[in-house]
Amino acid sequence: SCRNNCMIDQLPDDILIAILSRMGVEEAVRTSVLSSRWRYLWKHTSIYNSETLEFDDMYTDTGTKMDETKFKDLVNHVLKSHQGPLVESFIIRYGNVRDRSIDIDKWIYFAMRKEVESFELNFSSCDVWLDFGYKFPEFLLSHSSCSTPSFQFLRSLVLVEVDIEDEVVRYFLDSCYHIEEVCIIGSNTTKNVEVVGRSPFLRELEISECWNMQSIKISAKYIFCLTYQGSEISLQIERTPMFFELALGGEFCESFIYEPNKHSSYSFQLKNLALILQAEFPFGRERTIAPADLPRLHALERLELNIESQVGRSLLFFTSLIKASPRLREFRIQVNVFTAKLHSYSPRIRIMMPFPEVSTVESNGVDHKNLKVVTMVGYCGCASEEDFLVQLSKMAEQSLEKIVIDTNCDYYLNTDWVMYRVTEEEWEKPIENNKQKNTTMTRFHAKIHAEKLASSIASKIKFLIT
Amino acid sequence: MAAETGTPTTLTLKSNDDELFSVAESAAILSVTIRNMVEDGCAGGVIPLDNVDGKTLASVITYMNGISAIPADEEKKKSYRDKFLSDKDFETLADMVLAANYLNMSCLMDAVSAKIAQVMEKKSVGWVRRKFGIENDYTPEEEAAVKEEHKWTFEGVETDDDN
Repeated sequence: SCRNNCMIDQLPDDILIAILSRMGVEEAVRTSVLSSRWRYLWKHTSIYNSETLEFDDMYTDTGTKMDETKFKDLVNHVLKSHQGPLVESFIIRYGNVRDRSIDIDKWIYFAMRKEVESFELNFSSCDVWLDFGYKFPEFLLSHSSCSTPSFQFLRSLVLVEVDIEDEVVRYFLDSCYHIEEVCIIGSNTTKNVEVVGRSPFLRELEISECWNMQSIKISAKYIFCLTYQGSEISLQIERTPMFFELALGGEFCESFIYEPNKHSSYSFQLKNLALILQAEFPFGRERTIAPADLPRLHALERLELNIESQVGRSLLFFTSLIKASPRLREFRIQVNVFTAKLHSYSPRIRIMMPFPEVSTVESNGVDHKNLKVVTMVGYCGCASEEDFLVQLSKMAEQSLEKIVIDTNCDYYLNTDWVMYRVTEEEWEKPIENNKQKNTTMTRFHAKIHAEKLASSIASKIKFLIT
Repeated sequence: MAAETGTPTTLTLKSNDDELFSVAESAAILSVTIRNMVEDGCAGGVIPLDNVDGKTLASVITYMNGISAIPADEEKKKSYRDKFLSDKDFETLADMVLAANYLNMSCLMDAVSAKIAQVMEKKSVGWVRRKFGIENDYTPEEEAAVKEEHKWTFEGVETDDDN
């Protein structure tokens, strides 16, 4: 217990408000019941005037996932009590949504009323089966005019797991004069997206994991960057003098490599390219033959590959992309190899690899003049990685300055060993009780192996091994 | 100035109960209030701090010396602050938060406010009133109305029947 002079009420309001500001919103509001002096103190904490509001049910003060109703109560409370006239950035990450509540409609209306510039509504959930399909409320936009709230100051829009109709996408692209960035992930109702240059500042567009997509058509003066991950679509890009950056993933990514003619209207002007190539199983097609034509990447300066592979599978095919990019300066490859875990799930699953195995001979005869930096992430010390790096150092003998080898990979998250130079048969055998076999090695050994490799390659190339 | 002579400058601080303290300028200027006085050239003689008593000022100076001896390492600074505040009772914390506010020392202000907030969090209303000597001037009806207004904040919190 406490002596008489231990009275918090002796402190002035601004100090009490400073103390309340260090509590969670819920805790601060609860102090209103202490006494009449405390009734409205919480209202003066900074969140109710803040121009940036961010709510995330996964990363709460306590570090635990917030209860669904509580999260909704919290957001509703803060929005209701918010006094600032404007909110610049409004972010909601809510993975626990389970109903089509009208609360969310109200949050969107709040964003319009406070004239947000940056708006993110992110319902991505760890549990895909709980996906409840929140549909972006079209009716909020259809009545908006100059005198009623609208998204007229919006610069950045991010919608994740929100079903958004093509008409609504068009509204954002055509009616929001200031829009710079639009990112739509996991919408089931988006099919055809058209950017026709009505929004002069649009620079970045991302459409990912929208499985009903059919087409993207872009004809916009200032568009700079496109990210698309998903199934095959018709992609039309024209009259885009500033279009320099492309990131592709999913099935469509293969089209870029295997059907280069389909992409020739814009591939020649790309400066940055990122490709995410995933193996498919048990369906999908296997790529065993290298394509006859190469993409035309005359302006490409940076190439980033993120590929799924198997231990020991030759990576030499990717030298063809470097060959197709005479001005390439920086090349980064991240190799994600399948772990034993996947095999224990079903050892007989046939994995369809997204790229063919080619021999050294096929990638010979290239004399690259500009490649300066090569980075390999996920290096585990197998022969195919070594062959690939040796081949690159030969291809760019004149220009290559630095090779970065990063031995960090997902493997070590679960176990501290990594499969090493195993044969196919050995690979198929289940691993027993994490017992280290002769065929396994640690990250430490991967580093030693990388250092050995470094000393065997021409000495003027600088190696950085982590 | 200190750099020119090669010896660290020492400041003399005076509490409101006329105690005098010597402290290195480099540590004392953690207080923006003191830093401003130094920059305005008031540091020649004694710096009077009219809103801080000797006991609290001694404690604040201990903190100033301790934290400024730690190089730029947020982790270590944080653990020093935690340790520094761990054995302080509420009366001391209240004096410190007032002093930190007056001296404009944001890092101490943050740490002490957070410490007091932490004591209040997750506790029942009755417990907080008793612990911090808050007199409840609500009528039972008023109190019930306030509680009803913010009902969601009381879910899952222990209730007490002796308030």
